[in-house]
Amino acid sequence: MAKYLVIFLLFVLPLVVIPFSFSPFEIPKVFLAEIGVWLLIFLAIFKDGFFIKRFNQEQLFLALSLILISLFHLIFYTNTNFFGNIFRLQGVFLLWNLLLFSLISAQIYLDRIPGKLVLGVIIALLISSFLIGPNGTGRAIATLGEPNSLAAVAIFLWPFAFFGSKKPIQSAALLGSLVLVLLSGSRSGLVAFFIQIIFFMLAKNPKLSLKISLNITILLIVLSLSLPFIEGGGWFENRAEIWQTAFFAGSQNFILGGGFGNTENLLKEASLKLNNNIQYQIVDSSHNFFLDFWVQSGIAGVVLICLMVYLSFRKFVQHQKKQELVLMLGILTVMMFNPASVVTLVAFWWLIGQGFSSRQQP
Amino acid sequence: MKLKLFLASILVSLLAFVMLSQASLVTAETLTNSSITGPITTPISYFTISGRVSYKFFRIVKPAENVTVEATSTQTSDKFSAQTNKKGQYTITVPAGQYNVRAFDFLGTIFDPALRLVDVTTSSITGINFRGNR
Repeated sequence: MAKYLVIFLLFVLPLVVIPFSFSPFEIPKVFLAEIGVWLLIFLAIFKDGFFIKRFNQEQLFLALSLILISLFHLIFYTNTNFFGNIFRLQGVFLLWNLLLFSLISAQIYLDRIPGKLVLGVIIALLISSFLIGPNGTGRAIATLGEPNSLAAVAIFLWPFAFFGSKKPIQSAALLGSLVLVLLSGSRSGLVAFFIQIIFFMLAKNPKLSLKISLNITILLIVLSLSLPFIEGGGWFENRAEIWQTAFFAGSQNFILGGGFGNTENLLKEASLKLNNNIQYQIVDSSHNFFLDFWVQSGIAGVVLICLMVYLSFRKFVQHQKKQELVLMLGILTVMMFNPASVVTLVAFWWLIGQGFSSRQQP
Repeated sequence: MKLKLFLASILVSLLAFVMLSQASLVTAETLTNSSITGPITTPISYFTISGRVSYKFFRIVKPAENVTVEATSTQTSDKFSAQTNKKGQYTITVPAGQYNVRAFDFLGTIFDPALRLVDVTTSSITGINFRGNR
């Protein structure tokens, strides 16, 4: 049962569209993700021996530290602290759910996901791209509602179908995901796709260890962060300006940040102080996962999340988990340039959980 | 087992309360702010529209200071404006798009041209000049 819940959260949740609130794409998914996590909690309560003593101590410590920081923020409660804003609902409550999901899913062993299932999801997204139609700028949104979120899901799906499947399914999954990324018009998605391919090729080279391949790929990701500053366009590339505003916002509350769920207000305040163009827009994300943590939880939160990512990478390298490494590199790359949808966050925290899993999965 | 059931029932009640609060928050905002737009999720490029405004009195041409130059988006009707400096120069920063640009001052001077359509979808534009007759 738990296994099927995790499969639902990873592979079926991206396809859910329910007409509710401002966006039928994002908010219903948040509700379903939270309900899914709580169902996992209930299963954890009733299953014998499946509880705290089985959790990885490092992961538990890091997760509890994040929870403590968020509890501190709740003392100075704002109206967006607990639930987040109405567009994404990415506040303290969702963070707690995702941390619990990460802890519990680390105990759940997923059999090798059938390549046909993943291919089916990719095909469903392709069909929905045409049925739902593009957004105002002609970019496909499918059932995700946002082009970059669609690219993130495509990036996350193809490795499941690729590793361990027969060649026709491998090719179809790879091609299908690439088409989704191209239809979405997501440049960050394309960068992430190529990052994944580069790592895959490096990992296949017998002269290079997995650790060196990973280090080279991470270096490429870091270099790609310069793209918003150097690519052509207007004098003010919005993403670079958002990053600058977010960095300034985080520096105002250096140690513990301005509070989870408060990114929109913090960025607004910072943009007014900097008197830049962001003040004229509704910007509720730093468009970079680590900057979001910087703004919301300061240096403390950034250190904790970096530790989690580092320890997951270390575990994946130790156990030669190439699929997980490809997944993590792709998801991280997309999250370095865009707001994270709940689907992307679920995928990310599941991967973190896998990184701390004590099980030796084949 | 009884303890587990008790714990589960507390958690169910807590979850129901929190989820209902969350749902009512979203529903209330949806009903009261139907015109609100979503946050930006993809980058927007900003460009500048710049030029010079002058007054012409018989054959004398002088820079026009403190004249308001306004750019109105043809797609969203959003307005952006700037005031000319002592040299009659202005620069307006706008999101990429098409704009109708006009100049006006507190004296009601008629400027020529009355309106200019400019396209700043791929690059900034300069030389959007206006001359007012006095």
